[in-house]
Formats: sequence, structure tokens, C-alpha cells
Amino acid sequence: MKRTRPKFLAPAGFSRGIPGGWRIWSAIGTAAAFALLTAGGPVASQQVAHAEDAESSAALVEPDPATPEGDPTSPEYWRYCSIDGFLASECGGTQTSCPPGTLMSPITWVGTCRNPADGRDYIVSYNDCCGKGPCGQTFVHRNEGDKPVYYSHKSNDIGWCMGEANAAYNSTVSIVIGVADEPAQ
Amino acid sequence: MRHSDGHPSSRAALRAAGAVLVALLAVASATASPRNDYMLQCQGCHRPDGSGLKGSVPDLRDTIGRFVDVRGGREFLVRVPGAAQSPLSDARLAEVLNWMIRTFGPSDVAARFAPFTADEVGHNRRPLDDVLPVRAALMHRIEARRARGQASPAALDAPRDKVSRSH
Amino acid sequence: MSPQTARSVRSQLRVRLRRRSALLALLGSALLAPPIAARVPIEPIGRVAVLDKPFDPHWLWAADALNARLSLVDLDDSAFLGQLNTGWGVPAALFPRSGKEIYVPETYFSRGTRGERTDVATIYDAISLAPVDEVILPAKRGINPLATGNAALSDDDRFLAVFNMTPATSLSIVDLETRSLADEVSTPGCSLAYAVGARRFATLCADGGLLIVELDDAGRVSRRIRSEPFFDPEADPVTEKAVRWGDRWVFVSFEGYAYIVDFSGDEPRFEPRWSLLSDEDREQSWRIGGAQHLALHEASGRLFSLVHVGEVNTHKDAGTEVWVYDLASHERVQRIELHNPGFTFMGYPIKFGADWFYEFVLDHVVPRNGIDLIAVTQDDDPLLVTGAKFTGAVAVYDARSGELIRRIFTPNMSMLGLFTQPRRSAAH
Repeated sequence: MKRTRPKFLAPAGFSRGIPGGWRIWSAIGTAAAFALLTAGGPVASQQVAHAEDAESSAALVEPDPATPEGDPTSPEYWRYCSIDGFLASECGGTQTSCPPGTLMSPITWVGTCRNPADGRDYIVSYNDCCGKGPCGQTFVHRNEGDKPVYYSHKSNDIGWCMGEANAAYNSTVSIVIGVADEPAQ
Repeated sequence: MRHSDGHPSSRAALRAAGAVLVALLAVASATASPRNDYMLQCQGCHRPDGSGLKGSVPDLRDTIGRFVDVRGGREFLVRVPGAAQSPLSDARLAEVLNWMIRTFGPSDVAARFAPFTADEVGHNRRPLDDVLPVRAALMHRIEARRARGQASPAALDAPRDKVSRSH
Repeated sequence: MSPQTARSVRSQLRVRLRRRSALLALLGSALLAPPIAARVPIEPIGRVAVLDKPFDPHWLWAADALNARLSLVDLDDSAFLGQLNTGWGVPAALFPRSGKEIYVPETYFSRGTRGERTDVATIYDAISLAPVDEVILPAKRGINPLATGNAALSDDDRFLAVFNMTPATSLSIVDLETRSLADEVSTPGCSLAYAVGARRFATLCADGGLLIVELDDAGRVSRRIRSEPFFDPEADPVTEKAVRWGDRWVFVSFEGYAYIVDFSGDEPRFEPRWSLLSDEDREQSWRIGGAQHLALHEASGRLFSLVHVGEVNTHKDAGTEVWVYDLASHERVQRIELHNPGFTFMGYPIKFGADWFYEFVLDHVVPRNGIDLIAVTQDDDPLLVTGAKFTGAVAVYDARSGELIRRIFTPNMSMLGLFTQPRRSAAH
């Protein structure tokens, strides 16, 4: 099977925070093979955030996955350590900018991820991009340091499209805003 | 530091070493930078420049410092749930509050206010469960001060380490 | 031929033709129109079906955020009975004990994905599934994927509390009797809403405690109670996905500890926590996890907990088993191994071959993707329903034996909330 970029197709009507937790590569392959026996349609596949998938994400973009920081198209990329959403960088934006025509949420939550290249912890701001429907490209849901919704400044489940960006959820950026200190006491 | 070569000098040397050790410890906790703590615990809602969100997150610029000049204001800053319920230790929360006043101003307050200490924070640190009326009352006091033309803190508003009556 | 003759000939021809036509008609009618009445009655245009009852314990409402709707399916015969379309976010249905209506808080934008935002509490008739009324809410409902906790119905069915986040948090209180907004309660540092009495709601606070608000007859706050922390939000927070047990609520933490809170008195009473996982379980890295990972059968006092083997930070990961606990003894009484519910694509079932073959493939060939949601019906023949986030298929088990009964395809493209009916007394 030709390796194409895995996608989660998310038609209109989607809103915030649907986690993509499982992978159905071989399931879909099997189902597709047996689709001849039934009126089954084409099947979808999706990219998920588990370590064993690291080798399955195709290196179709310029960043060299052999770099110590890793592959920014992979869910395992270091700065996505607690992201919950579609990657803005796959949706017409970049890791630090929202896709064209969207609004970056001014209100957000801020986490910490370790960069394997230098072993430092970086402070990452996970602003949402709002005003357009769900992007439908690579969805990543990882929960390092995530807390429940009532601990709101550390929750990735909250729909952060608020304030000037009070609109539908499109995707999420991961902006490095600082270098962390030692862990909180 | 002078070499110790006798009793009195060795005691002096010990004191000096102790002072250096204390200084080193102070530096070690200070590398837990208040700016980073602000980023991780506060900035998501208060925004990097403290401007907040009109209608739901107050603008701290040129305002946050004014709370220390009115009765109950210092306690309030410790008791807002975002501060009281943060995972920061009392010492680090004190440093963040001090950093915020110095950074967001107003600058005249920043220049002269008595910094928060871990003790003061620890004594007051119970989250308010109805913030808006308390804040409104404090803003009223702040405005009254401004109307009276008071620029410097009254003696009444000197920092206390005691728990003040809850509002 | 003279005109007279022609007329006479024409009239003679007409008579002959008439006679022939009549003969042909007679023959034709004998051949083509058998002499029995028409079987299919003439039908009226414009009828709309209604449900034959307002609720059934074995009905499931399945939330589909991709289609912005709730689907109603019958768990006994797999029938699709209807739907409610519900705006942005994960819709949640709230059921009064009368069963006559269904309440759903909804969010809409004037230009679809943008524009002026309107939030409403929509009131649906439970039999017709038509919207019959709405109460406009402050347009700041908290949007997140939680199935429960974003809204709550007071035990007397009078008031609806809707959780807001701007990021400042508050509750909008809707008076369902007057169909109007009664109050907005600021809940700084605390979030969500759980019904804990006739006119009381509890919110979860970031310090590990509760803020409880009591309402008066007009729906305005008459009392606020702030509890001490009952868990450590830094070390081991409880998930938001608590389940109700009469006057008590059961919260479970990331590390698998059950915290039961008794709200029967004036103040909340916190029972000592107990572990859902034995030392051996922890050694094997069993963990709680899922999107809707708890269910509780109130009458029998059984807690159902979705579990998987995994590392820390997997509190939202899919589960492979449901472990059942007796809440009186705190003992685990059963382990239910979960089956793959099946796949759908764009709402269409992916099914192939004979049933036995299909089930064989699901159980033994395709990798287990795990279950993200569980729910249990509240009747005396309870069913356990399991779903996964990106399939419309659900698996239905006998909740007592753990035996898989059937798989049901719903037309959902996503599954983000499973709602069963509350237990109702015979009086309702």
C-alpha cells in the first residue's frame, strides 16, 4: 500500500478537543481487503500519538527527521508533548502561526516539553486557531502534564477559542515562549 | 574571605561561609524565575503584557500595584484563586507577585512597595470564592485614594503578616 | 356520396365504433381489471412520526460532535429512533424525572464557524423530539469534550446549571418553570457542575475542594459552601467524569483511587479514599483511562471502570477491560473483557461477510483499538454499552454477566458521549 500522509477526515460540525487515540492501519487494511464482499466504501486512517507510530509517519516534508529534535510532522515531535488538536503546521499555518484567515486565541494554556536535542525543558504555549471549521489534518492528543478541566491553566481539553477569537475551533499551534527552570517545588 | 589561621578568624570564616551559602541558596531559588512562573501559571489568561481580556480577565497594567496601597489589597492579591490555588510555593508566589507589580506597575508603586514575603503569602493564602464583589470594593478604595490625591501609602496600609478579616 | 348519406354513414360508423369500444372495454375490463378492491389505501401527505413513549431504560442517546447531534438508538433491537441536532461542541442530554422533556445546552455562530455567538438551553419534547422552547443563555458556555459536567439538572428538575468559561468561570442558572435565566453565579477557580440536591450544585476547584451553591426558590444563590480539598490536584487529580450514586458522587483519580463524596447532609462528607487497583494491578501497570471511563448502576451499587495497561499521563487513553466494583465492599467483583464494537466510515457500517466471520475478524484479526466510553442502563436488567471515539458502532453487554449481547451500528461519525436514562420510580 502506497504510504500517504495519514489523515483524519473531519467534516464540518466538529468542535473542540476530540482526541485521536487509536490507530487502525491494519484494521483498515483488512477491512478494505474484505470490502469486496460487501458494499463497503473507502476507508480512512488516522495518525495517533503512540511511540510505536514514530516509524510509521512518512517523512514527506523538508524537516529532516534525522535531526535530534525529531520530525515535526510526527505526533511524537517534542513540542507536541501535551497538545490536543489538529496541528496548525499541517493546516496551512506553521508551528507558531495560525492558518490563513483564522484568529489566534489570546487566551490559552501554557505547558512544558523536553527537547531531546538539548535535554532542556521549554515553555510551550498551545494557542488555538479559531474562526474556521476543524482542519481535519493530523490530529495529536498527548497528555504529558495535562490536568483536568477544573485545573484550567493546565488543561488541554478546554476549547480555548475565547475572547476576540470566540468562534469555532480549527487547529492548534505550539509556540516556544521560554526556557523552563527546574521543576516547581 | 580571609584565611582562617586561628580561633577568632575561623569563626569569622564560618560566618562568611554561612553567608555565602545563604546567598547561594537564595540564588538557587531565584533561578526559579518569576517570569517563567508567570508564563506557566498566569500568562495563559492574563496574557504576556498583563492586559487580560475585557469583560473577564482584568487588565493588570498600571493597576495591579495600586492594590498594595489600600486596606485589604495585599491580601486580595494572594487570595485570588489563580494565585492561591497555583502550585507555586509561598516563596515563589511571593516572587511572582513582586515581579508582576514591578513589571506591570504603576512604576511609582513598584519603586517603593514592600515586597511580598513567603510568610505573608502563607498566612493569607485561602482562595476567595466570590472575587468580583471584593475586587469591586477594593477598586472603590483605589479610586477614592486617587480622588483624594494620595500618592504615597498611608500608615494603615503597611504590610502585615497577620491574617486579616475575610471579606 | 350525398351529405345526407355521408352523415348517415358517419353516424352508423359512430354507433358501430361505440358498440365496438363498449365491447372492447368490456373485454378489456374483464382482462385488465380483476374484480377485487384496491389493496393499498390512499395515504396522507405530511405526517411526522413520534416516539411511542417518552423514554425507555434501554434507549441510548449517543453524542456525535462531528455531526453536531445526538442519535437515539434502541439497545434491544438496534433501531435508530431519531436524533437531536445540537450545535458546536459535544452535546449532552439532560433528562428530568418526569421524562416529558429533554434539555440540551447548545452553541451556534451566526455564520457557521464565526460571527455572533448564541448559546441556548433547548427544550425538546421527549415524544416528538421537536424543539418546543429555548432559553437564551449568556454566550459563554465552556466548550470541551466532556460528556458530563458541562451542565446539570437540579434534583427537583426545576433548575439547569450551565458551566461557563470566558476564561472566568461561572454557572448560568436557568429556571425551567419560567423558561428564563434566573441567575449567573461566579465560581472563580472552580469549574463544571454536578447536581447534588434539590437545589444544589457542586463545582470542582483547582485546589482539590468543592464549591457548592444552593439556590432559593427564584433560582438565586442563597448559600455558598467551600470545602477543604479532598484530593491533591498536583499529585493525583480526580477526573471530571464522576458518576452518581444516590446522594453520593464517585470521583476517580488518575492513579485509580476512588473518592466518594456524600452530599446528603448540609456539608459534603468525604469518605476515605480507596484504591480501584490492587498492588498487583499497579505492578502490571493497569491504569484507569478513557473519555467517559466510569459508569454506575445505582440500584445494585456497582461501579464500572474502564482500564488499560499503560504509563503515567494515559488518563485519557482507551481501555481494554471494564472492572466492576461493589461499592459497599469496595471489592472488585468482575473483569469484563471488551470486544471491538466495529467500524463505521462517514456513518456507514463497515461490515463484511457472514456474521460469524465478521465477528471473528473483529475479535481476533484486527488490532484492539480500545474503548473510550462506557455507560450502563439503570433498570433491573442493565446493559453495559461501550463505544470508541471514531466509530459509530457500539457494543452492548449484559451488565451483570459481562456477556456480549450485540453490536449496534449507529450513524454517528464520532462517539463522544453515551447517555442512558436515569432510574425512574413507578410514579413516573
